[in-house]
Amino acid sequence: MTRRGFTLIELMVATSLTMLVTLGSFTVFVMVNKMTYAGNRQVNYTDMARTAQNKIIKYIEGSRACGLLSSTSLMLTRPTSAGLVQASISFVDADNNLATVSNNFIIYTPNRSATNITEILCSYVSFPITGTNSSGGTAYGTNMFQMLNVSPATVGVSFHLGDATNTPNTGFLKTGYQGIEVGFSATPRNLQSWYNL
Amino acid sequence: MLAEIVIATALTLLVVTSILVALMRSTGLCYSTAQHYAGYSLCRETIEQMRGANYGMVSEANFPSTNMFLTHLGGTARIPLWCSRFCTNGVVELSNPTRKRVTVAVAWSYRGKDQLEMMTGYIYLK
Repeated sequence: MTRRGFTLIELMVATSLTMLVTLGSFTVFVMVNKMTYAGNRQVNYTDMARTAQNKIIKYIEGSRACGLLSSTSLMLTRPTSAGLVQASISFVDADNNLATVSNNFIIYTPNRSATNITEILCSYVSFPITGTNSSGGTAYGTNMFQMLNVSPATVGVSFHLGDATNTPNTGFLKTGYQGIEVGFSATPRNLQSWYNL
Repeated sequence: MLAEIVIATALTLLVVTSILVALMRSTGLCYSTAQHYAGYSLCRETIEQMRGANYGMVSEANFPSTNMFLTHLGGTARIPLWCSRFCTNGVVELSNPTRKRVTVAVAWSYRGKDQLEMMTGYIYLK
């Protein structure tokens, strides 16, 4: 009687191939998981940056004048129905630890006399990247706000929005460092008209 | 029998590789989008500064080409990405009404491909 079925060799080859494919699939699954996570974070940060930029420009352009309180805080003089009030846009590190960025905010205070009313413009904020140092490492600046020489009231704004500086290659997924540099300038509209006259 | 298994394995690998390539491409596009947004901000910054400056000061000579920092490469390679911002032949005088058409561009290279973000605006004489 002839018996039909696998030979031992066929069985071994098939098992080896199955193990190979399973291992490969698992590796690919982990990689896909990493990349999807990284992509989602990057999209999230870009979206957050876009929203924050639009809001900051809106508040600066809607003010009558502006000046620096510090390199991380901008004061705005804005008109209200009750007269001119002082507002501010500031960087706040809630836990005084720059490395933990989820509670590093840029906040808008519409009236500095009533500091309990604030709006969080964005989180995951850190100082702007300025280039590389002599040993090739990433270098960070200290100014988020600065007055530009080109016009008496134009404010230059720059910050980094994204993962903390100590996160690359950490965590289970080891996705590295996602984020975006935000750099732009804005001018209070009223003052600009007076200057050009 | 063995041939069937080999073909099935090859097909599975082909599909999985395709998915991986597609995901790598889409992640690259996420970074590219962020770079273009950063470039857009830099273009807007120059036009905003031109708008804030005196009308007579708006010229290519006063806003020369500069090499600057755009953003970083993202992922595990946190390497700063440099760009060039320029408005070469980008300031054109127009009349009725008197105004200048300004074009600012930011150029950089990413994964061996040249990228460009460009913005045009008008500065009016007040």
